[in-house]
Amino acid sequence: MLSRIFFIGVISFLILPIVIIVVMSFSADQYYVIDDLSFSLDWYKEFAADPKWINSMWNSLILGSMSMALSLIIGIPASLWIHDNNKYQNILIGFVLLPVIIPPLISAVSWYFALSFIGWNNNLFNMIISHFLLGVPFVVICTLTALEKCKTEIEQMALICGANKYEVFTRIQLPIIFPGILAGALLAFMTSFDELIVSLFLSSYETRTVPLEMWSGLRENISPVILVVTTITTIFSLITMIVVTSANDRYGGNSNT
Amino acid sequence: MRILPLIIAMLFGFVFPIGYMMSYSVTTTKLQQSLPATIENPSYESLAYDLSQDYSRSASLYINSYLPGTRSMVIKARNDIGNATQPYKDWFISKDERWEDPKLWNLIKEHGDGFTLDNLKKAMSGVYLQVLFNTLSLGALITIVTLLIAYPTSMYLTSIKNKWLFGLSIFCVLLPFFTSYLSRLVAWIVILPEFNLIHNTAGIFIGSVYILLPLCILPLYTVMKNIDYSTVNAAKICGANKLQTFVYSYLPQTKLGVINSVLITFITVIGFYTTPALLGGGSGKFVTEQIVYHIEISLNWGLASALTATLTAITFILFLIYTRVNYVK
Repeated sequence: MLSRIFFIGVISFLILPIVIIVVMSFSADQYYVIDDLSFSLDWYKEFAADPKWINSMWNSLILGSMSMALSLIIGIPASLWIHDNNKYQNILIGFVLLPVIIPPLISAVSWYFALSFIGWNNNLFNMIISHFLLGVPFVVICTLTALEKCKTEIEQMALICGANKYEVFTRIQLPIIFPGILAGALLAFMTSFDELIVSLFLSSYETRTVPLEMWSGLRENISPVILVVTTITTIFSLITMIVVTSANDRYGGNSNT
Repeated sequence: MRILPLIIAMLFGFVFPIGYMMSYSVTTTKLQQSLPATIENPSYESLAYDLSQDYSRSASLYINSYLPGTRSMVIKARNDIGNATQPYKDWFISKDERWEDPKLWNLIKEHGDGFTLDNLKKAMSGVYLQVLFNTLSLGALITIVTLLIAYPTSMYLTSIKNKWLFGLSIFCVLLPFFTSYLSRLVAWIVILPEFNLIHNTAGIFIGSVYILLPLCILPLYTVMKNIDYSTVNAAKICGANKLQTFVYSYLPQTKLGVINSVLITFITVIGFYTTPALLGGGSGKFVTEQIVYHIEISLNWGLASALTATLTAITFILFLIYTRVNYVK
């Protein structure tokens, strides 16, 4: 009985803050008052009317899709290679995982220093590259988990029946690993979409993203519009979560990420 | 070689910047700042030009620290530089014969980017050592508390038989895991003031535990899901009580999960920046806060990179342990 109460307590501790944010974003009150339950869409209207938020939302979406595309273009062939060359698998996975394991502040400071040394001033380019590096491990890990499901016998059979390597990939491997790729792509997108610390160092006025606007909003003038933005990003996270967990169930994998 | 683009991207985009940041912490740019033209083009003409400028004030001190006794020589030449005559070489030598010393010119050539341990020494002593200690001890405390909450929670999670109840519980664990740090912190920025817990260590503590819990539960759950219950049952049959069964049979089987959870949690918490900055009210308790302060406000990049290098070294050692535990059997 005691363990059940403890468990329910932990679960509520985990989920209640998110529920509170979503509920409060529909509140009419000017201030953060938890016990106010009046329903209104005022803050959503204010969000949609504010060019600051709309701009940053566009910036984040563009940045997220571009770094996601780059992660896919570079990550998928790399994971296919790692899958074929089992010998180096462990060391390569460890190496590729580095950007996820190293705290983002360390990466951000390193990029800031290195960029001031090289002298590249194109903020959009720099941010795409940095977000790509933070997102590509997810693509590699998810694709690899999916590829493990893809039995080599099927590939060999297709090769014997006269398929070339390209056909084996598009007609055998791709359909099997597609949910894994989708999960990796969404994770890469969300990594960029939620990324704050690196953007804090590398962005300029033109490349302000949603987390940056939230950050300055939280430090300067706290407005309930931030709750609306949080709700919207949480919905993105929810979609990502559903895709990733269903892909994971499908492959029966127990990936660490 | 389909992996080549990724390797190149990682080397240039990740290994090089971290290496550069580490090397920045042990280089000094003092001579570069005081004699830039001479370093660019080692000649008596550019030396005369540099010494006539205001920025070369610290040149004497710096050269003296490598070639003892040369301080007065540099100061004399600098004070008299207004009367310097062409050709400058003869003028310098007439002032002091040691200007011809090849050691001096080698110093200028080699020490354009000089090697120094000053920044690292500073980062490992005094107030910064205290901050590092604070970060590590608070991080350890947060990790232990998170583990103590996560362990029984994931144990209970494996015992849920009802499909819907399990789905709901795992949803409550996974949704915060997939939600961004910032969104989750917004929630606590709203909730904590209700209990007067914001802008202090308690705020950092609650926020960190909240962020880390899913991260700590998932590796534990993965291991606990695959536990072999035959030994647990055997222990029970042989007359072990609940505590003995847990300590001698269940706990050893979850060792890998515990180590993984602790390492991931600890690496994450010592790298936290947003949590202490937003919930701790800028108290500067974490190394990360000091790093950002020295980059953005005090502009002491040498010290900032030394602090970052220290944090990187600690993270890297922990990561090596992690890969060793997981991948090397």
